[in-house]
Amino acid sequence: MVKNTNEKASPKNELSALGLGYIMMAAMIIFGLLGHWADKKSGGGYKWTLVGLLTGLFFGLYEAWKVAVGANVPQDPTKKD
Amino acid sequence: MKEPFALDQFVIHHITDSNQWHLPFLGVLQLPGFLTIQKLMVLIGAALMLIVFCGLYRKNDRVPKGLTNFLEGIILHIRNDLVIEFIGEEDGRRLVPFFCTLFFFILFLNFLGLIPIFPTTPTANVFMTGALAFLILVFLTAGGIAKHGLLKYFTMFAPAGVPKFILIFIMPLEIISTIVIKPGALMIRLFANMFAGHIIILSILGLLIVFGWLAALPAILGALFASLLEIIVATLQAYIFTFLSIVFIGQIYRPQH
Repeated sequence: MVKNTNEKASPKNELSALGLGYIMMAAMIIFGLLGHWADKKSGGGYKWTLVGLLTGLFFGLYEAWKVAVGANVPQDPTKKD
Repeated sequence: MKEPFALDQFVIHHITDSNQWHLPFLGVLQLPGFLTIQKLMVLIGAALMLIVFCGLYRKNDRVPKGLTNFLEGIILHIRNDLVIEFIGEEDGRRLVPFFCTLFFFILFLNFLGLIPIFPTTPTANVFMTGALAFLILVFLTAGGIAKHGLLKYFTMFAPAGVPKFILIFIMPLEIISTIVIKPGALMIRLFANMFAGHIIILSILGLLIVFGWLAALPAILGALFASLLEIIVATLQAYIFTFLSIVFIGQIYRPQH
């Protein structure tokens, strides 16, 4: 007999993925600007700008990972939020 | 000798704020020192909100008609499908007026920028969108602390099931994500979309000056198409700003652990 699990990830979690692209962009811009400021303070170069951009990228990927993990968690249909 | 036309200067001159308002057929209107075009548009937007919701919106009608019916549909959607759904009944009902104001304020400002006599829009200014995002930040921080208490607020940033030695790295990430990245994303999204939209319209119109009468019809049709697209973008960005604000605040007020 086939079991109807009726498992479905919460739509709320999927909807929060709407902002993922801009969250990644915002993180890269904010940390990139911080890195650029650090470079200017330390007398030039691009080291801290690159560190900032990579940090922002890491934040964006971390947010995407959280949404992906949340989307794979089956929700109890009998449980009301 | 006449200076060659610089399209980039034309675009930047019109998109940035100033207290010199170039009106069609009326010349240049010099605004007072404390006022600029974008500040004036914010005041006009606020006045429009008061006129529409305090004057035209008939909340005592038993059967809403016309504008009241239209606005009520939007307000009910924001209240039932967004705020109460994501934030909960008790807190949601208290916050519904704030989110309705936020949505309609951004919508009115976005639409004001599409009226041709206004060369720019307040939401194409990063400080304006930053101020709106700051309001959301207040809810994400002070609102969360007021609701849960300081200790429980910070324990919310520790995801369940994570080993304690990893929490040392995860908790700062979560705190920075909530306090810096999410409001930053709201600010940059609205600013970038409105700024880019107006740059596109101004660039297409500037081609009319660069190429002369040959580009008249394509430039006007292009600017018309871009303006129609901007109507959709303006509505969508107001909705997305409000929607994601509700989602982010809901994640603080009703953490899913």
